[in-house]
Amino acid sequence: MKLPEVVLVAVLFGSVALILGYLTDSPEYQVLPEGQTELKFVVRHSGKRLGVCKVPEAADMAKLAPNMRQLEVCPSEKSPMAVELRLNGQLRYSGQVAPSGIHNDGVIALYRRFSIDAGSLDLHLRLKSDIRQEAFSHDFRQTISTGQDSIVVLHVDDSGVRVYQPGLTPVS
Amino acid sequence: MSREISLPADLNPLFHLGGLGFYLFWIVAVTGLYLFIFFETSIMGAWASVELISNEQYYVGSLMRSLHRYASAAMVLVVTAHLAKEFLMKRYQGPRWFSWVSGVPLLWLLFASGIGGYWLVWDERAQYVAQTTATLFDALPIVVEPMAFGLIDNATVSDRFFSLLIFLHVGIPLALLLGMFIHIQRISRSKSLPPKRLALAALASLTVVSLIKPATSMAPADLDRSVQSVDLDWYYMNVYPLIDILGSGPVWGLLLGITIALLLVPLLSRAPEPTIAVVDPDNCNGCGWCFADCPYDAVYMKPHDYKKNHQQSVVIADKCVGCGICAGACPTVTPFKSVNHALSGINLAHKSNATILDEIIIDLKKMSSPGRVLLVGCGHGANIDGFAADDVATVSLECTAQLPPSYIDYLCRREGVDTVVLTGCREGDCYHRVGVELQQARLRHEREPHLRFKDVAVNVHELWVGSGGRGAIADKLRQLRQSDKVGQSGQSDQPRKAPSAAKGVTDEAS
Ligand code: HEM
Ligand code: SF4
Ligand code: SF4
Repeated sequence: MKLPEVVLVAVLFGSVALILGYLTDSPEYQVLPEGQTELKFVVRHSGKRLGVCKVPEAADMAKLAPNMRQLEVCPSEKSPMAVELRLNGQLRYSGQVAPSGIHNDGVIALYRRFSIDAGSLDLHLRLKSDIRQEAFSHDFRQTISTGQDSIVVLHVDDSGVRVYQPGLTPVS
Repeated sequence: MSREISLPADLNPLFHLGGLGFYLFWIVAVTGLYLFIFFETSIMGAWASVELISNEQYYVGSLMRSLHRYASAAMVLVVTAHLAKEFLMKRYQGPRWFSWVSGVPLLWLLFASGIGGYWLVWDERAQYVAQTTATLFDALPIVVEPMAFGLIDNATVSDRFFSLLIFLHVGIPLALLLGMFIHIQRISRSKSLPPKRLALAALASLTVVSLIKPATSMAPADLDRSVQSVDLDWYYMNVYPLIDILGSGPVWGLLLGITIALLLVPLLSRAPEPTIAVVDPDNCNGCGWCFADCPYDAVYMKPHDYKKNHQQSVVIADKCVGCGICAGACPTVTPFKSVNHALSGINLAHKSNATILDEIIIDLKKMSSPGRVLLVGCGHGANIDGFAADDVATVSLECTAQLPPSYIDYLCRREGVDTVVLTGCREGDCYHRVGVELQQARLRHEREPHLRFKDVAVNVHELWVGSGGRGAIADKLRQLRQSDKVGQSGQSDQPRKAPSAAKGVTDEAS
């Protein structure tokens, strides 16, 4: 190879390699605007059964094998849960969360992330575990003050609603 | 011709993109094995162990890690260019659909491999990627318990989840490797490694970036805090900002849409129904040269239908793309024979080589000018229409390697052709993968069937100028006319400057 060719190869491969290296970690990507942090909204609820349990007729019981006889028969289908979340007065989520499973008999699970302004946060969460009812069955309200980049977890499970900032002292 | 500086074909990455893909994979595999030895598979230990590799191993660890990262990034670059190039060259048509379609899943496996690797470092970038990936997958209707539940805060992440990641970061690349081997199954003599000089140049440039800009981690992941900004790897994570902006649904739509569109590419092309090669058992002597030369593995050998102790070739119609290279390899075409002079064992169905030879001879007989050029075109090089003249006969083949060297010998010795100009794809960039290489080897006595006469060889000019090479062909003809090679009589035994084709041509008639 002649010298000009060597130079050509070096320049070509060198510049491709530099671009290659540059794009592996630049330019930086701003995930959250300055002064914002994240709220993680977690719902994990066993849900409410739609039907009521019945004591089977004695005649029906007799037809079943002894080990299949139950004191109560409960339809397993569950109601979706209606959820409505307001942050600082702004509606950020509103919807019905269906139970998992093909028979709609599994847990009700929801996960959402919201970016929020760091500082004072007014949370307002309303829940309805039985969709057939008119009014919301839970109404949760709390105001907290968030750290600069510490996340806020709004956690709903069978035992109730909790708000906390992991790593900082729990607020409730 | 002016003396331009040009990149030698063996150093042109654009001619070896598939092979570079394999080569980069091996670099990633070897360096990955090194990293794996020192990596600690736990949430608490992962980040620190990567820091140790980077900072405490006298450059070796840092170099290994950087090569692992940059070779992975280069793979995305090379594979994307490979896809674009195969698309532009329409190498997905006809039986070549297999290579195209089997390439598509490789894209998913490649991205999954790379993204999984970044996850293991468990720094802020990993945190961002983990959480955003979870968002993407949780949008699928099959999810029972959202993946994100394992990534809420530091208290919820588990080492078990992390072990699964390691398993995936080994398993997915292995699946990729398997997929890569399947991908090249339908072609023979696949170039699954780049030429030596290109391999060295690539490794050298990756090493230089690794030394100038060693791969680093961001701060350790802390799920209790939000990630404000990330140094994204734009090769592997270019889709992540889209997940943030558009949401998971549209991004799934986009990814699946692109995948389906790619898979359908071979259907969209309206290539003419390819002609295929057919074997004539009467004229097949079982030498196996067509089997050796077919670039698509479309020929196999079996015991001859009726000649005892003979083999015969068979064409697999589904794999044959009709390049005609086998017809150029068949030695039973020897026009010098007195009987059945140009019948051969294998031919393209729509037009046999014997017919092509007859047509050339008819054209030559019509020419009054005694110094004659035979200009041979190929279906994927420059269009040679319009070059035919009283001193130039033209023939256009599907591939330059469809022309048996014995035809060149014969036309020059017996039919008054003075000069043969072979044109075709650029060297190293043949549409039919190896047509140019094979023909060059035949002309240079390096491969059977070869050109026999030395005085003929010196009059064969090779012009591997590609589809944009009409200008170069016109220049060549002009040059030949100026040097009195064309259009004048009685000059043909002048001493001539030997073109490269004469190299290694030693024996006269065999
Ligand atoms: C990891 C990724 C990939 C690797 C390592 C790879 C490697 C290769 C190699 C080594 C060849 C043979 C080249 C030759 O010998 O001429 C090849 C051919 C080819 N590849 Fe890929 N490839 C990859 C991905 C893809 C993708 C994504 C596509 C398109 C969707 C694709 C389409 C093709 C086609 C159409 C051919 C040509 C086959 C022919 O000439 O008939 N490849 N690839
Ligand atoms: S024409 Fe011949 S060489 Fe070309 S693909 Fe078909 S069998 Fe193979
Ligand atoms: S090259 Fe010709 S003679 Fe040889 S096996 Fe093929 S068809 Fe038969």
